[in-house]
Amino acid sequence: MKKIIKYFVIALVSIFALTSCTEEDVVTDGTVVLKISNVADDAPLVLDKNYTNANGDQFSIENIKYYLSNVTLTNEDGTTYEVPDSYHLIDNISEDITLTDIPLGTYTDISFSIGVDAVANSSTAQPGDLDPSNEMAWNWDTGYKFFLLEGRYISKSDEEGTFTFHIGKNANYKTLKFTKTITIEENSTIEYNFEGDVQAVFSGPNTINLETTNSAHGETGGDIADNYASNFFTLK
Amino acid sequence: MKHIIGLCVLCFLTIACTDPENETVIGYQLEYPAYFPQKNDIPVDNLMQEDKVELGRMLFYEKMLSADSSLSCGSCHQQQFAFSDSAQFSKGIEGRKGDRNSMAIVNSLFEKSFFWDGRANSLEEQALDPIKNPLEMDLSIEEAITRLKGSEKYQELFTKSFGESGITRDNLAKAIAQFERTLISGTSPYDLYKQGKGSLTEQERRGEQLFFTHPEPSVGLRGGNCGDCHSGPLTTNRLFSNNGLDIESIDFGLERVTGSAKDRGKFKIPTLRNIALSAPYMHDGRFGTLKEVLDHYNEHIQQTPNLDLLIIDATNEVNGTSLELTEQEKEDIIAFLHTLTDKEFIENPAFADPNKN
Repeated sequence: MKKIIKYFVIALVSIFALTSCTEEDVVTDGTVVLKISNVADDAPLVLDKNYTNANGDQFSIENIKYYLSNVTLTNEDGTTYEVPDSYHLIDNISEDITLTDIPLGTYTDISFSIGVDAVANSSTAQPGDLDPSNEMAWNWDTGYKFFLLEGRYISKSDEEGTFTFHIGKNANYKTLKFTKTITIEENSTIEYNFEGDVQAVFSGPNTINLETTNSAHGETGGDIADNYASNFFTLK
Repeated sequence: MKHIIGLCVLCFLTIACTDPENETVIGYQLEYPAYFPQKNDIPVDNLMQEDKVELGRMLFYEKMLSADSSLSCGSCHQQQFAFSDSAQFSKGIEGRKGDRNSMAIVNSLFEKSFFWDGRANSLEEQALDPIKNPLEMDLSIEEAITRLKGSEKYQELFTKSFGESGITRDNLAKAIAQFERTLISGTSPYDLYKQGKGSLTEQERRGEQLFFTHPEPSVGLRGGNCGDCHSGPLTTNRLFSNNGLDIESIDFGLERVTGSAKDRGKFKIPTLRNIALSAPYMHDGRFGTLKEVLDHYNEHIQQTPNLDLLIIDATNEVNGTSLELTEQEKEDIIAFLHTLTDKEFIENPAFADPNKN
């Protein structure tokens, strides 16, 4: 019995070994790594640490998670390469998204979205990190929270409280584009360093006053979504 | 690489292959609705196999695995109660009183940690704990192995399932874990409703709406705030929470495992599938009815230092200090919870004690 499984595994492994050998003969792709770091005040974000936002409220973060999806690279010839099944849950202070099989070439722009596109958001398919029973799920009709930020605050006028921002729904799916020319050569790994600035969630087009805006669920988070769309990510 | 593993798993699940001694390995096909998580953490060295599941089932109901041969896993995890029992604290051998409520075993295939305090990271790790636990079955694993080796039936079954290694600690855990993974509940009336094969009453639909809604009093949106933690089709986000039971925690829960005071009084967020069958509720079985549970979340939350933010934040009244559901709304949510009772699951003969057939 055990032997059979062993043979089976050996057979499978050899098949894949053979496959990868053929692939190695003609290398047609490279790797891109998106190094994502959440920061605040120009340093790595520290959970439970007190910060002061643009409005002058003190706040601390207990939980931050978001979906980064549909990474697309624009080639210098104007064509685009869309990474397949590209749904990535960022649930640590820093996280690497490794994208393999990127066609060789010179790329001038990279874009991705915060959130989950309408198609994946209304389907039971679960490519990438999509999971209908993780902390980002709304209910059984699939549908995901795109951006989750939870913490405590002491407002300018010394009111203490908690805030829970669970932003989702199609209107809050935001696509961002960054310009940087990179060339992917055979077997090369190209890194992009992105910083996600938590302070930007509270400012930008809309200054968030935590005393009045401390709960946002689903569509009610438009102000916050506009903030994360405009200045949350910086390409270093 | 992920795809390769996936492919291997698929092969083992579906392909039956024959070995030189004419024994047949038949993969066990796990079936569940498409909206369940499609990824699971089945260890590659314990892929689902029919004979292992069947062996696991026999072991699950094997009383020889308790010191005085009076109890099996199935004694405190009874199918009629969704593989839980109806006691506040289950009784171990010689009537020894446990310190936690027996957890229901439902869709544990998708779980990432086990026990109320999450002290086991796999079902394989979990499976042996109650056998050894002095308050439960109180049998050393060495003794369990000796006893099983004394049985011709088990000698044969282990060899059939695991080959030459036969009866070992690892194989005992693996077999029980495999049976536990088959305990899938996905045929409740609410599942049928979601699949367009059944309907809900008006009240159940109101309860559904409340269950999954986080209240937003500023825009007049009322919610029971349940779905934030009991999220998705598994009705759990598989995390831990301090849900305001006691200002001074008696049982430190997750803190006992992590050593972090931030985790004091945090317990595993359980699935609510078949919840109407698994009373009493909470890690210490303090609430006898679902009504008492709803009353707790609505009116009796204790402001613990690490109370879940989603609980602190939730109220149905502007400037409200508690959840502020009406009695009617509580009843609606309870009606919805009853739609998660899966008759097929608790009557499935494949999950029952094989000795009673």
